[in-house]
Amino acid sequence: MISADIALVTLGIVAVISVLLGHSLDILALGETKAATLGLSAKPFQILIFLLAAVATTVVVVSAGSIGFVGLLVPHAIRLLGITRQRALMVFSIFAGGAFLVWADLLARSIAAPLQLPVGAVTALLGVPLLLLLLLRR
Amino acid sequence: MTILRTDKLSLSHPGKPLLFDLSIAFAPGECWAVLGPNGSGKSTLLHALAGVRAAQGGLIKLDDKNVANVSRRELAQRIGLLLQEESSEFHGNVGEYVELGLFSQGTWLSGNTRAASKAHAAMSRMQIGAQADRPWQQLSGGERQRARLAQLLAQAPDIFLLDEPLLHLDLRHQLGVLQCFRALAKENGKTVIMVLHDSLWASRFCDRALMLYDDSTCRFGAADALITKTNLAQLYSCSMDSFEFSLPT
Repeated sequence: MISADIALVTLGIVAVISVLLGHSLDILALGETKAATLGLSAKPFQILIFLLAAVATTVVVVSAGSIGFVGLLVPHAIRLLGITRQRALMVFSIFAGGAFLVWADLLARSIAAPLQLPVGAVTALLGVPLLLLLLLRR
Repeated sequence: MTILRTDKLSLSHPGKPLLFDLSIAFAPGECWAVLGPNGSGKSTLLHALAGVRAAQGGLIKLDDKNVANVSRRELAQRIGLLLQEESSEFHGNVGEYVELGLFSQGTWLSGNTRAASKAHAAMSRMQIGAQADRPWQQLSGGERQRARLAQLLAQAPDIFLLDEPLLHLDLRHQLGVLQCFRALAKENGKTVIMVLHDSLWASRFCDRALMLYDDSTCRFGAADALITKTNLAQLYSCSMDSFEFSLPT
């Protein structure tokens, strides 16, 4: 376990850096060769992004445990709403992901009260059908 | 103005040599046609010139600086490459796609401040301005090709490397694209190097020609001296005698 303060500060730093790197992520999404022709060295940038993702994931899992489907589902749902540039996508995902988890937690605690379901069960219950829907829409 | 030159450049795919000891200079104001049969190394040459592919031998120099030692960002400001194929995984609209061409001109933090107006000018030039708000995924092949060209115009490099710029385009837009890039060479002093499969367009719009043969040799020089029926027959190993290169009016 790490303290909530450390987790919050680390996540905040990672989030700010990631959002600032949004333009470069848009470029990288076009493929490595195309990114190179537009002026982005894909390899070092990818390593940086992997590191940021690893730090964020580690901090979250260490402090809250592993809760599936939030990270898979929320950005895709936001993209379906028409937000496609990485910067906006990340900002909306951060807040929508948090809100989604709070509601999932509320459901998990109240649906079979006084029994508490694991919140991961609720996110999976919502996440699996939505993810299947997204896959079928392709 | 920038001169791009190769010094004894050799390129190969595993097991297949493509180019051997090519020393050539591309000067500002020149419009080059790169001709050759499928698989003769035309795309590979453009990729190497743009610095996105390593050469097996020799050097590529941009104003006497080895391209391999120039940063990606500076290269993108000087050399632009139209890829023949690229991933179609882009989820924004056409205007956003074209604006990505300005990446090397902005800072990584803020992007380019005049991106929207520059992108719009490039789109009008490729006659795709009316499609700016349409999702990229909905575009036809020809519209995508014009949006890619518009992105390259927005990037505004000194040297344009075009790998089959006329792919998917109808006759009107083929002419529009050729006229646009010829004007960039002749009026704005840019260097234009394009892979073309239409020899007739190549002889009409380009003043220099580079022919890549199947046996990894090549010839280059003035377009009107090189692009002849005899040379084309030899280059593509097919007889040209039965073709008439003009249409009835």
